Amino acid sequence: MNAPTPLPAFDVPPRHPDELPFEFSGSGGAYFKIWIVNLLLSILTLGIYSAWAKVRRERYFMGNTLLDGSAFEYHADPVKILKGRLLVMAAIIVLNIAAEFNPLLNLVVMLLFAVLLPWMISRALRFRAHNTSWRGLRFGFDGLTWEAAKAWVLWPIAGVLSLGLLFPVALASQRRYLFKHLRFGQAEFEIDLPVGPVYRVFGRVALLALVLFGALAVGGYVLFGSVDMAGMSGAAGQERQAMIGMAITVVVLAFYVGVALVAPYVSAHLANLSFNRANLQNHGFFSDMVPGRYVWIVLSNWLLTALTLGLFRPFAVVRLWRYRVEHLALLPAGTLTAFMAVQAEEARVIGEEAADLLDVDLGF
Amino acid sequence: MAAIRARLFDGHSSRPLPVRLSAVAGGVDLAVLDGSAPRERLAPADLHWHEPLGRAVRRVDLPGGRHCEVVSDDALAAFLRATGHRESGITVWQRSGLRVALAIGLILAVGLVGYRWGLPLAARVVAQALPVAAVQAIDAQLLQTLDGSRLLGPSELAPTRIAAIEAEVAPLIADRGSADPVRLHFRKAPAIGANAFALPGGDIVVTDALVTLAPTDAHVAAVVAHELGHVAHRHGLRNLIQASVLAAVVGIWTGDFSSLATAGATMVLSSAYSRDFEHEADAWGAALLARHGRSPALLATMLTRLERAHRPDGAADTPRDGGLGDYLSSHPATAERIERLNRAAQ
Repeated sequence: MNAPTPLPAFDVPPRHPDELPFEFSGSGGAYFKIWIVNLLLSILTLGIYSAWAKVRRERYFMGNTLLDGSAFEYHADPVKILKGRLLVMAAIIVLNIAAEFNPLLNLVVMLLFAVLLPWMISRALRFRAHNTSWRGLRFGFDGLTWEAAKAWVLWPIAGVLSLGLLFPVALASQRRYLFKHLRFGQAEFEIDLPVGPVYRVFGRVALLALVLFGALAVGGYVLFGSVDMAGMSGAAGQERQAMIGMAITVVVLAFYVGVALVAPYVSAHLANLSFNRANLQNHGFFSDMVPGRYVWIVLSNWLLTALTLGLFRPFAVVRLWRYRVEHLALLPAGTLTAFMAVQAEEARVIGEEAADLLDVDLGF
Repeated sequence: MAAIRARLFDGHSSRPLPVRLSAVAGGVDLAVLDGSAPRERLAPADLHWHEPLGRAVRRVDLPGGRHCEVVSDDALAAFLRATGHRESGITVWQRSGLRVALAIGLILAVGLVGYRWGLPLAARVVAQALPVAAVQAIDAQLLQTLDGSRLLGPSELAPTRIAAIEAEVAPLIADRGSADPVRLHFRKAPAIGANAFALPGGDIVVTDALVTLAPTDAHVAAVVAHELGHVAHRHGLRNLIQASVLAAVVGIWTGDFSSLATAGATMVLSSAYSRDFEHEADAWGAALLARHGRSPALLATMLTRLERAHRPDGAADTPRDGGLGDYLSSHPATAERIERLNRAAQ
């Protein structure tokens, strides 16, 4: 086990540094043990334990994520997670079987999904926030389903219809939704994220893609250009076909690798953008992930996980989480002692109690 | 006397309160260091220690919605011993390297047994339990999709040839010991080449190229006998069930539902199953042929010809070799199958 990080002395008054870094005290080895026991129990109970496993995993990651020497906590009730999972699974099975017998139902299922997805997203965010705490104060989330529908369904559809041109708007509205409705105790998060910077990120992606595919095209011409010559000089048609097949495979693979590169690249940029433009009352945030480094971590994690037949997975998850956490800091405007919990009567107004009663975790 | 320092949070504000916890006879004393609150005596049962999970800070819940943060170190271990706290079974389990190794071994054993025997058995039970009508609905849709694609086209064989083959096959179908309907479909399929395949619900598709490849109608009937074996064992359905379960398991294991890796691993894992299916169908087809006084060697001859036809540098009668992946790749070594069939013929 790794040596515990020493905490700041408990009895000295809190410092007021310019920057309070988030820290992660977990390790891949320690998480591996939790992961393997979780996995064994999930298998032996035919998946039922997986809800408890999720809680233990979240508790490990939250409990080892520290700010100002205090850990975050995850409080979810595994029974609610199990209920949510059973609900989602039953819905998927019923809809799939129905669609199998009547192809027309496929359309109905897709429409239903478009309606249900935003509801599930807002529910899951609310569940997650409400079940996370720091220094005994719970987070909260009160985003509406309708706004989730705009960010996760309507804007993406507009993105597709505009051949991708409006896709950055969709991503920006998703990030805004995540932050705008988040609370810590009574304190509310705010974010000022215009679409301009998100478009600049995609501009860079387009430029990188152009360079990458340009190089690929030149490489492909050098490699396969000679095949055409061989074809014209009367070589077996079958051989030529095989070469063309190989070229197609290479292009498809390159496309997959390209997408695998772009997703983490954009995700790192977006995390930086949104944290740097968000604040909690007067406290600001500072995120300085290096997108190239982040892409490298995601890619090498993927490779090592494949090479070890999955055994590297817990180390990979810790590695990525550690990078995210250690590149995030709070820029405190004063002490962090003044946050207050939502009082019982206010909680009723916000609907927190109803959330606690009715809420099921719907995955993600 | 064991004592530790901690930070107390009251659940109403984020202000930390430095406290000292001391283990005393019959409980724990809680003293606020700045003296702002009176000393409090807590029973050991009032303290709910959270699972350590290898963390730097350990949390303990106190009555009244309060909790303390304590540094996880040797002093805490001594304090816990002094208060008689016992860790949960799962914590003890995780701390022991031997038991973690045991968990790995158990997962491997469960995985291997499940893969080799559990999943095939479960798939067989489920496949046999499904009503024939439901499976035939899948067939109808599959065939419709295939006919709609460019893979299958209407057969160009002479109607007399088709009628002759159907007459040759009819006694085999009648005598196979099942009343479930079986339908024979002839299709022209240049992209697939010489081939025959059984859909899950009992529809058997024979390509024109296979009929052309066969020296006599009895040879075509021998291939159909093999496909009837697939139908009798419900291989199509079992394959479907096994492949979807494998895909789900591989997806969960790698944490990725939509990647090439999942599809690739699933294909590799299920290829072992289809080898078993081919052996089963061969044995079943050979027995059916033998009951009708026909030689299983007919099937062996067809296997030889099919293999030659699908080899890239194949004989002159090779139909165009499509990019659809080789039919024989999921079949066990043809030489071995031929030998088994010839042995059955003697």
